[in-house]
Amino acid sequence: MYKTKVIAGIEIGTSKVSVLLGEIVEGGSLNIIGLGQSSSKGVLKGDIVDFHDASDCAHAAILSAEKQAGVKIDGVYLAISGSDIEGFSSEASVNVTARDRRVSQEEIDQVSGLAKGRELPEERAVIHHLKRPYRLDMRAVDQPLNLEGERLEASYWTVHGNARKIGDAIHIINGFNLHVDDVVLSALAAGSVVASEEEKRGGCLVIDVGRGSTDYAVYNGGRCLIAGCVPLGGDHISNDLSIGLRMRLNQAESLKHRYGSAVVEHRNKSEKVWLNNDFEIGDRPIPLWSIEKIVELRMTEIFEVVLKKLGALGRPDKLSSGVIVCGGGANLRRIEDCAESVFNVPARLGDNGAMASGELRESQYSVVLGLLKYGLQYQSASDERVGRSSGFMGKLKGLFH
Amino acid sequence: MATKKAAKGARRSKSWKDIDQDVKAKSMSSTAFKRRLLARCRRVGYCVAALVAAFFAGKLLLMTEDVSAALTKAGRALPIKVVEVESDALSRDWIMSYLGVDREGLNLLEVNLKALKVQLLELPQVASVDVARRLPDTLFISVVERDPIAKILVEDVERGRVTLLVDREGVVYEGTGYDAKRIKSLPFLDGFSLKRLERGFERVEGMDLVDRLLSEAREIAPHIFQTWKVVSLGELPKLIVKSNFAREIVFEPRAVDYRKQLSELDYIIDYHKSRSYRSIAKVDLTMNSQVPVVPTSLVR
Repeated sequence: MYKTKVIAGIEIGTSKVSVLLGEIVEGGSLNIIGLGQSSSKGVLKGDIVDFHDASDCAHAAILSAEKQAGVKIDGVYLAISGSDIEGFSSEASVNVTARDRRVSQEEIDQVSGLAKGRELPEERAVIHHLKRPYRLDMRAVDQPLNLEGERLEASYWTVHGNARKIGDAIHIINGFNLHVDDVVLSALAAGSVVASEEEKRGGCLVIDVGRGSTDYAVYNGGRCLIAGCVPLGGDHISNDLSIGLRMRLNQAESLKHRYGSAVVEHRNKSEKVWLNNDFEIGDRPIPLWSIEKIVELRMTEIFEVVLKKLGALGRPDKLSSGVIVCGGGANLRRIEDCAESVFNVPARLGDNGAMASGELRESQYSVVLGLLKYGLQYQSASDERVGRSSGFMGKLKGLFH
Repeated sequence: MATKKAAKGARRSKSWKDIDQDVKAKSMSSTAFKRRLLARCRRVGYCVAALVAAFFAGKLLLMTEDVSAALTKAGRALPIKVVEVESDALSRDWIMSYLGVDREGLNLLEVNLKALKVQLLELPQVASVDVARRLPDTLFISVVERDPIAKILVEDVERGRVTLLVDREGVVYEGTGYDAKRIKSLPFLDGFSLKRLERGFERVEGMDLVDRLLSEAREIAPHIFQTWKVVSLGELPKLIVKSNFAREIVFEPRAVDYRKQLSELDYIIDYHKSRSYRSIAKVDLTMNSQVPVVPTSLVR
């Protein structure tokens, strides 16, 4: 008799809600069994601005995924993004007190606790403590236990967000009678899928360009050192086009998808495209160069904001494995070239081929795939508690679950 | 950089895990509300179903107990009126007394059949037993006893000389209830040592040969068998019979049976009787066509 648990990776994005269901068998292997999507309402720049609209969209997507898979969800892994997400580095140090100057487990626990113990304002809630390598007498070590030294330092990148906004996202899921097992920053989820272990060791930047916000995560030495979110995304490009070329937002959105390029390809200013392409009243020619220039400027700005957030970690020598661009915004033509010019390192588009095939290989599913991967890795303990058994007793328990 | 003291006094930062995940119906979408309502109804339904099932199971259990009680009551109204006994030598009264089923008011359903069976099988004379209830009022006991083919005379410290019986399997036992005439007609065994065990005696070897010889003698030459007093097992597989006619008649087991040797013996006896000879000391029937006969006169 084997135990299975159905987990859902849910991303409530500005453009759409994606729900991916995975079946974890015996805590060891993951089968993707269902996908549900719905266009998003009530979400602006990654923040929930209308609870009921957002709930309806999210619940429709969950219901669709459940129907497709024919199972009930046991636990949810929720992607978190939005303008309120921030991060800071917190550090602490202790002196090694043992006579032989060897680091003990108590000292490791103590310094970790101190580093994570930094107080946040009342309305903020911690999402992740991303552990960085320890430093023992200024040398970086992964596991300092029993190593000789005098001063042990621990450092974490603490990702936090507005507790109420995180609560809103969680309560949308709770509203479907489901429990959120964990919340994961979108960039971390995407990074776990699109970046290979080798790239993570060498140093790489994962950028998930969404409609309302852009998430980023920097990996080095196999660990995520810094992660965060900038409240800029594909919507800003559409907005710029709308204002700059004087058109409605939906027209700008359509124009972006049809002719948008993150790098100016057409230098000839007389080359034009039709706004609606239907030759009816209101349709007019738009210079292609203008469209590409506006998109390039905004995309470059978004990358520059990310680069600024990275600080020293954004230097090319820290990102030797390059930049990986994923998310719905990555469908923009030549976005990788734009990233290359900003970060001065090679860039490529994210691909989910290592984990999925077919439709799910598209980078817009990186986050939900990453959530399932995260769930597979981190929920073994809760597995035994809530896990469904495929046997008779498991089914019986399932009736009351 | 945080210091140890500062951190000790610090309040723990709030984590997303501290966010209450209980959600009120007001804040739910209609789909979710219906879903939760359905889930709750289903849960309540399962609970009710479980309770109903438990109720009926309890009732069934009580009914079973009632049936059991009714059976016990009925059982008390089933006294043993007839004890039907099938046996050979052991008498009905003896068996009933031995088993203790001759008491008044004994209940048919309360009798432990297994215990009765074990009690009977403890008797070495008994080979197999069948005990059964025959409703409404009969206890049936069938005892198959061992069939003795010879006897042994042994000296008992307390009881003096005691006659023991031996069946065709070599089992030695003290017979009860056998017909005295029949026991008297059985030949004695000698020429072996009887070993006493913790319970009973060690089996006697060679009794299959003795059984064959005695059965054939009884069947084809009863007049000769009647004269046989002792069968000696001292020279197995040869059997030495001591009779009124001859002090020693030596038989040897052959492929088929003892018939030829018995015919030869019959001829010798007739011949001697016709000549009015006196008794014979030894007849050796083990040498096929040659039968040495030793007259008493030649024996000192």
